Amino acid sequence: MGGTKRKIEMKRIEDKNVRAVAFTKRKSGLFHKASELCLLSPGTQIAILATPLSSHSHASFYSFGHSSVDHVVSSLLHNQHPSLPTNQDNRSGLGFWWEDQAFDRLENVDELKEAVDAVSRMLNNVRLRLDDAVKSNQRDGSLVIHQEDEEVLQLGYKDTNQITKLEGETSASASLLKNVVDNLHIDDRYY
Amino acid sequence: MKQASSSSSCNPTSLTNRLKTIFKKAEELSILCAIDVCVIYYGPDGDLRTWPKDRETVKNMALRYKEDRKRKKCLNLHEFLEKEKVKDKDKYKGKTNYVKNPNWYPNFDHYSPQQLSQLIQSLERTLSTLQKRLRIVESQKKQNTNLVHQSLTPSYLNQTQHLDPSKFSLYMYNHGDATLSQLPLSASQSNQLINYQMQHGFGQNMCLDNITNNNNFQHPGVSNTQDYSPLLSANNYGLNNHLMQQQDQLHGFDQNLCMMSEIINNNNGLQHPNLSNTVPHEFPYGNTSFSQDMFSSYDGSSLLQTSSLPPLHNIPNSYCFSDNSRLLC
Repeated sequence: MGGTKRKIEMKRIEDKNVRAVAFTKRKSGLFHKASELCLLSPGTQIAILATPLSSHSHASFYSFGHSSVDHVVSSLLHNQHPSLPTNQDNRSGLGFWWEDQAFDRLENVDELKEAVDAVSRMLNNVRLRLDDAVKSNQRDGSLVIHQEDEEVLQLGYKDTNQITKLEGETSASASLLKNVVDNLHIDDRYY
Repeated sequence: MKQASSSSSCNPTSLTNRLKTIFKKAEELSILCAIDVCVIYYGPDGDLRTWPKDRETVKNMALRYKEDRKRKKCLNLHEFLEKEKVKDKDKYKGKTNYVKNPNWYPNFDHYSPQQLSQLIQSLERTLSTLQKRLRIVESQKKQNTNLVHQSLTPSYLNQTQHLDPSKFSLYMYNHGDATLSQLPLSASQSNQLINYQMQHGFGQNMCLDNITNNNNFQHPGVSNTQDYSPLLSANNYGLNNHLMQQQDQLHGFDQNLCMMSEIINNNNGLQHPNLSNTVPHEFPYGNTSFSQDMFSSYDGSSLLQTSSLPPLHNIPNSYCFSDNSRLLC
């Protein structure tokens, strides 16, 4: 091969220092993937538990969770679905930027004006999006639900309906194309 | 390609693939580092998925987690994203195109109408709150401006008050100048008059008449000085009257010189002008001057004593001197 990048064997790393570095990097990567999944899929709850590298295997856990590790673990142990109240989202701080409490204490007039303009533009965009969504719903009524994949069928009727909505949205007006391109740019920054 | 990727990022199939990736990475982590890893996943529709798939193993690990009260690092999604936010801030510090308040989020493309309605309500609520906040801040700014104006007014009053003492000082200063400038002028005029009259007297009169003139010059000066000393203690207005009277006195003195030129060696004539001079003044002072005048006329040595009287008075001294020099004309 000759390159510096090489695929490592999927077995225990013998060197202690190399193993520690690998643990740190892969743990953060795993948590990052989980956070992306939670952001892309509202209503998803996840918990990841990992034991430390030290010889005391039962000392403590590295954990990542949404909405919280305790909540998900309790639900698992009690064999019940964890309920996700809508207020909890605001409390966890996952709200949007305009729900920031700092705006109530803001003293700079220019920043306030900028925020008002941004919220106004966001409101207009969301209203346009709502109109398009309503139109696509009307269009969905006439479409035949097409089941392509076995997993899609396994996910249930709601997901199938969502696929239909996606198809409708794909055929939306060309004005959204510009927004999508802009959103892609924002998407990279957001995550 | 980007568009397809964005629109399919929330596709259930894509989400399932992402979950598979997470499970795979958990497996790799557990193998490479020889640790226990478990992932618990509840989907939006309530389905439960775990890695490893053996539920008993997962439950055992969950129980261990429950029993362990000392958590080394328990990350919430919020805390994790806060860390990411800090990194992003450092990363985009030098870039100007970083959007502080973005207009749109990709997630909104896939929201249901109900979710969009809720989002609109949230945005409207926030918009009204921000507008109220904007008005409050602007009104506070105006109040601050008014306070600035109110603070300026007292300083203006202070300046006004400061001007009054200045005017008062200037007034006093001018008054002082007026008082000081008049005296030397009078003295210089008196000297010129003395020189003129002396030349005139020397040119026209004989030696004996000249001596008589000297006596006549001194007598009225002394008497007049004593007459005016009470007036010198008066106020400025009195001083002005005194100056006017002095001018009249000089005029009368010139008339005396004319009479002298007409009448030669006539003592009665000398005394008569004195009486005419004292008549305009108060009668008691006139008597005093008359008595002193006769006293000095009888004895020459007493004349010296009379001349020594002016230095005895402090305040009238300067005025006596100036009057004396003026009256010698």
